[in-house]
Amino acid sequence: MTRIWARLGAMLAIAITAVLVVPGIAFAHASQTGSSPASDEVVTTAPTQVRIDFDSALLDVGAALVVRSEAGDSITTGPAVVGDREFIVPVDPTAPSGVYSVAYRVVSKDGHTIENSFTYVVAGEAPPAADEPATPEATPEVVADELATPEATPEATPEQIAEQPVIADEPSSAPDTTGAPQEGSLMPFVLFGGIGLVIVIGIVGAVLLRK
Amino acid sequence: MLAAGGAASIGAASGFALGRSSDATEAATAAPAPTPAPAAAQAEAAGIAADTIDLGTVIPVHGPHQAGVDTRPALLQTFVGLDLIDPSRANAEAVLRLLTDDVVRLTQGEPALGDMEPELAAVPAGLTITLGLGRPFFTRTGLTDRIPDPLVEIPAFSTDALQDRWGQTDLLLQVGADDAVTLTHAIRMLTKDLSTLTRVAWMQQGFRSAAPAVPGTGTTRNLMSQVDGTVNPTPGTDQFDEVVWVQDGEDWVAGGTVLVLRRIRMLLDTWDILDRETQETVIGRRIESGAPLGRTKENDPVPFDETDDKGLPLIAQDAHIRVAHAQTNRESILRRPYSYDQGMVDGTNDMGLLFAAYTASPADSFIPMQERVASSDAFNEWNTTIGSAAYFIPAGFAEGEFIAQGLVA
Amino acid sequence: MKLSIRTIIGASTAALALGAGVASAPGALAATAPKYDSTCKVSGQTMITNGKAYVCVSASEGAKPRWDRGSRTSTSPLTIADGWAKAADEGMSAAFGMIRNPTDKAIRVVGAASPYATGIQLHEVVMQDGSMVMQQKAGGFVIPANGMFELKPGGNHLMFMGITRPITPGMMVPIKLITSDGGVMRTTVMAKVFAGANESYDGGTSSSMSGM
Repeated sequence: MTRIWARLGAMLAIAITAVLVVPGIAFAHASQTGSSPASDEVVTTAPTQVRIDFDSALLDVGAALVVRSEAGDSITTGPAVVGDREFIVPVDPTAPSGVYSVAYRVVSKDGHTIENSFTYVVAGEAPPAADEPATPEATPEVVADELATPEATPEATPEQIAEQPVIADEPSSAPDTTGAPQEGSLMPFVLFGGIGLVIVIGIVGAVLLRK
Repeated sequence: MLAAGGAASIGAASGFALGRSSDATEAATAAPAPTPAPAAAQAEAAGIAADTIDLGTVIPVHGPHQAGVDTRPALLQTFVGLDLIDPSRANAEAVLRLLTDDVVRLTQGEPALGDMEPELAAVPAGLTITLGLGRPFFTRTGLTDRIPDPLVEIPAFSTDALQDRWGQTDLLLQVGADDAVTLTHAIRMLTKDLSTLTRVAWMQQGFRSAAPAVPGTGTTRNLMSQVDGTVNPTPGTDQFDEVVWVQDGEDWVAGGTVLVLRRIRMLLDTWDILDRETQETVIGRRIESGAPLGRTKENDPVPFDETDDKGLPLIAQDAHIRVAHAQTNRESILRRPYSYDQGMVDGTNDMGLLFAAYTASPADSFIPMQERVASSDAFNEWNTTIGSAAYFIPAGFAEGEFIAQGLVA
Repeated sequence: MKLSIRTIIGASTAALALGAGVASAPGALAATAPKYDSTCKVSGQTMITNGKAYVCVSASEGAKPRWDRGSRTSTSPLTIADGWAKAADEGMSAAFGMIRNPTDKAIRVVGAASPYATGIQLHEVVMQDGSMVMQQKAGGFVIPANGMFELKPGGNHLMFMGITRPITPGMMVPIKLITSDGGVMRTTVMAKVFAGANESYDGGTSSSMSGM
């Protein structure tokens, strides 16, 4: 019995090490972990700031964060501030309801440029001029869609879908939509792949144990 | 003097061909044309402008301005900082006489008087020797009331890390040549001839590539690979005359300029961590072409107010070219930068830029620009200014006169 | 008139002193200042005395050589290009340059003088018993017609036998050259730091003149 546990432990250790020592890729770049408002979120009160969160440190150079109305007008009321892991710009809280687009460019501490853009919706009492009906009921549907079609992660093993609920709260973790290749997107890939591998080994090990 | 055979072909002869295959194909399928000189054709195909350096070049030494400001920057340039040993008006005059005699002879490919290595003076190699007078030169010789108005003190900026060893000196000799031996011999003669009157405080040796950064342009690359020297006033234009040459003053002042010399150490180890996109964001230009972001050519006007389709500014708010650009015509400066390499210090390369700016009034150009740079340039993270000095470059002189004669005569 | 012993001794001493003073001028053979046109012994021999330059010349082929003294006020057509002097705090110094003669006749420089020098000799450098030795050049410097004559360290030069004040780099040193045809050429040359051109008069010892 002990020998089998030892063997399993060794396999786990190898799997984890394999993931960790992949040179440079594993934990290299900062990537966005979320934002407030979130991508495609519908909010009932206009925000006073737009905030982007990252999973590792940022470098305050060359940063830009813009928030525009559908008409293309900026609603920022002050300079964007780069913090340790967040990027914040104050916006006009009296901005009318409608769809707002956010775009940013920021540099991670290790020298990589990250660009991303998304939209959020400010709901109002009267239907807004825009075509999109910004109703709160839309939100769970959006989340359900995410669960049904996890195209965000290329390697969709059954084990990964089981893991998914943890990730579902942050639908904006999708990589850059502007089309430019983002090395940062490799990190979640490798991370999930590594965890998946560990789980596979764990299950195989358990099967072996039953013998 | 060298015969025509002394001309050296740079870049092409070294078998440097980068082989842009599309260019070569075009050349092959074109109608047969008279074959150009093989070296030139090879360089053309490689995208390197086949620039020839003629070591027989003699830069005229007499005229309204001292040579070395509006003349083509030589490949090698050394700034020699000197202090007067026994400051007095008589000694100042002796320095000016001795210096002028060497300048006139050596720049014409002739040995200096009493030159023990006359053969080393035979290759003129575009030699220029330019004199600068610092504020201490005037104050220490009792000539304080003669300090030209534009020669103000350069303040310390918040990002500076100035070292005394690269600090202000009484005098400066800016010596430039396309040949290292010509350059070294000139410096030897000058320092020897002035050895009883001055002592050398420092020598800042600079170099640049013979190949232009972008074929057909005059700009060079610095050691961060950036095209350095775009947006420079063009010699011979009215704008150049206005922003570089001092207009008013005594005969040795009008037609002069002020040199601000800054020694900037590049923090290359941390700079190389950045990926290219980030580097270009910090500077505001593409590195390969020197073009502003959002544009295609080096000399395209910089789109400071434009945004991309996402609304993000093409040029970041703290990008170097935004912060450092001349906001008015008066803020324009002439930059003649050189790279330096001081070897290894604390296990890393000590290299960077000898930033030499020439302006009719640093108070109106360099100083306000540098204030902006110090307070908000993203580039500061990777550059440290470790030396700073300013000198008045007197006007040119005629045959039979000596430099700045009107100051002491 | 009775001459006292003291008077006789005084007069004799004075006569001797006068003679010695005259004789001490370099190259002098005559005990007293030569009269104009008086004959001399060796053709080409030069002498400067009392600020006057004399050279022994034959007026024409076969004629007896005579002391020839030119006017001290006429300007010689000679020029000096690239002239300079060696800086020195004390002792001896030297001056160099290229003397040019634009005329169709050879011109002989027989002497030189400067307010910064107690006396100037015209020197040459010759090989003697295997070593280079500096000495006065008999006959002075002959500048060829339409030609040049170079004064340089290790070669012919103007020797400042003693300087009257420190000659510092950058200082302008006035010099005049005296020619046999009665001309005087005035110029100033700049003093420069120079390590070489250190002379030694000891026969047989190698000089430290550089450039050889």
